Amino acid sequence: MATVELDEVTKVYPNGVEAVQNVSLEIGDGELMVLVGPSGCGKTTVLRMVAGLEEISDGEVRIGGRVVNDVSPKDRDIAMVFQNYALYPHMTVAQNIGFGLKMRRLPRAEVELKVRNTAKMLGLSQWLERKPAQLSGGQRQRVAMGRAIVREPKVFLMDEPLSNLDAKLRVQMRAEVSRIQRRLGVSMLYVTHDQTEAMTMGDRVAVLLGGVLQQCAAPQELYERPINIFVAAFIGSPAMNLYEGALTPEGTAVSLGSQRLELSEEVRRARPALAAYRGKGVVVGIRPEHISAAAPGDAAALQGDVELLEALGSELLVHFSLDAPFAEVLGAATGSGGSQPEGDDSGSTASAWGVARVDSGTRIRVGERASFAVRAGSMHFFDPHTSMAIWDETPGSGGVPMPAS
Amino acid sequence: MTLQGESAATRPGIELGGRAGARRRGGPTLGRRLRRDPGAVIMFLVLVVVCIVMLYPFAFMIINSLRTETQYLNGSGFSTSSWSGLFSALPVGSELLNSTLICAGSIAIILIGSSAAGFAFAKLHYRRQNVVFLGIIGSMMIPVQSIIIPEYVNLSNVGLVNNYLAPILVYSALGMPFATFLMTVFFRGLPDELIEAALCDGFGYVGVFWRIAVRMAAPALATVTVLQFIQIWDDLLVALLLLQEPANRTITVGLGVLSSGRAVSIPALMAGSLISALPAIIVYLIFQRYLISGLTMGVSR
Ligand SMILES: Nc1ncnc2c1ncn2[C@@H]1O[C@H](COP(=O)(O)OP(=O)(O)OP(=O)(O)O)[C@@H](O)[C@H]1O
Ligand SMILES: [Mg+2]
Repeated sequence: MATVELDEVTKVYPNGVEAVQNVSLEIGDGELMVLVGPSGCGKTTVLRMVAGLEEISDGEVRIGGRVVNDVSPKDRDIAMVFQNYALYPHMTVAQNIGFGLKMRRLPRAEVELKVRNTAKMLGLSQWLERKPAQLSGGQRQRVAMGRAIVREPKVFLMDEPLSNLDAKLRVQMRAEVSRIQRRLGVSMLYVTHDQTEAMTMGDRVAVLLGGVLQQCAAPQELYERPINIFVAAFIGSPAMNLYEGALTPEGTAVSLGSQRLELSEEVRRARPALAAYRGKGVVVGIRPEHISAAAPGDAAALQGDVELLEALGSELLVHFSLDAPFAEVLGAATGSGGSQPEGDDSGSTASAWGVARVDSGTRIRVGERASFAVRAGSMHFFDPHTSMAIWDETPGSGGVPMPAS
Repeated sequence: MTLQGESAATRPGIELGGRAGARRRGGPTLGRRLRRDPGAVIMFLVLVVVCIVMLYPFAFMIINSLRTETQYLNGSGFSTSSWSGLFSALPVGSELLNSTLICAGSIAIILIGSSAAGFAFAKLHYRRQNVVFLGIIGSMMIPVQSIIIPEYVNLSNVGLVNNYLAPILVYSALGMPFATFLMTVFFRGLPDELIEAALCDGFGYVGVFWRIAVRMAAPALATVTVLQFIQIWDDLLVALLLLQEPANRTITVGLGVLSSGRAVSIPALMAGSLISALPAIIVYLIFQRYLISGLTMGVSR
């Protein structure tokens, strides 16, 4: 058990790709930190640098306070689970799990006991004599976990360990991984590109884009106070609706295309920095779950033509068209389940989409013009130039640099 | 002389492999396929002809080794006298042993050297790696004949002529480049994650090489073994030059001496050729299963 600290870590591959830039991150003792971001953003690279499989170009990695930049993987006391599991095909399940113990010169009986206990914890007891090729994907995944657990390392490193599983098993294993991590109390760095996985598993979540760490916070904070447009669009499912709008000269309302959303005194007070944008453009973000069917007389309401309904059982996703332009999101790929249609994200003034997540009992029909109430207190505002969220600090100051697009 | 050795050992070996593959794939549906597909009929006939061409020398050797000189010339009758003649003319047992020792020694060196080098080329990264690799691949193009005389001088300078070590070293050097190439290709096919998982499991590169890479390389090692065995076992030139004492001779050298004697007995020579071809065939049959998967490795999966 130990902390892991990354201090201004940079990785430049020999071909000149700067995969990771000045990432600083601290994983507390026993903490489950999830590293999330779109494909190619450098997640694996970060993990491999912590594991010692990739040289660190600049900065420092410390495990338990010790600088490990030049320490080989075998001396770092870490255990890694790979995306494709990387089980040793010529060994049985028991041998796979026990392999890491071979170096320790433990008595045979003790190794066997540890392997058996680990297998029991993971429900693998009846497969111990099988070869990996004879196992299902979920079972292989467990063996890979077992191989990591049995050694009782200081740190677990996991690179998208669930991405090869089907949806149902993934949800199941997600809970299992967190449960095991909690039970063993071992620090974990968990990489995924799936924001749902990140949000449900992480004590804290670090969002990476283009090799730059955007924000590292508890899931709830990430959801409520995304630091910039990218994080806002990436976290949450379906993805946040983001439009280019403008604040009225008085600053009491925001215009979206031809429509206006009133901003109450309370909303404005929570965002003092918004005052500086009077009469200027802002990017407005509204989460689908903060839009509901409007009751007559609601202050902040949007009119839209209902184009598509998706029934999810307990809820209903309503896709409606709106005449406000979409805001551009850097690193375009949004999190999983983002149902904002691609195509018209060029910021043109053609009518944009919106998604609302409403109660399944709501009476609404495709083709009708509906009125949607927006929970103004949960709206997000961003600077259209710096992409940074507008709250109380001066906009754009000391923020995280966005990578050049 | 050498020609005989080649046709006896190398070619039928490869042909056997081809047939085994066809059998496994075609299986019981061969008849049906032949009826449906005229292309298959042509292919089948071609293969039958090739088979006859390949197997004829064998039949010729077996039949004529069972005849006396006169029976051979007349083309009829059978006798085992040529076999007893062979055993009295040649120390067959000790010559087979010499061949085996030299083969085993060279192959051991080649396996160790080529698997270690192949692993390094495939999985370790260091400066000028490609240059070294190209150098080794390039050395495959050097013919034995061009270096054997200087090699002889070198070995005689260090007093190794007539020592088993001399041909062992020369065969190892000759076989190493191709074996290294083969092992490199094989190890490149192993996923990096496997190596990295073992590194994380607490092993250094030596441990990873020995406990993971070598254990998984069985097909490639078998391929190297068979190919080198056939080559070394059949070689005449190197053994003839470097082992001149009669007691040191290998079986091919023994047969060479026999055939260059004044009274050449064709049936005895046939018997000797059969004996010398058998080990190569046996080794081939043992490793055949691996050999096929080794030569086609990386093609699928
Ligand atoms: N060995 C390498 N040499 C050169 N560039 C590399 C190497 N490995 C990765 N990269 C580049 O570094 C960047 C980050 O790669 P990385 O594998 O860390 O992404 P990732 O976030 O893990 O993506 P994914 O979700 O697809 O696994 C990519 O642009 C990739 O092309
Ligand atoms: Mg990755």
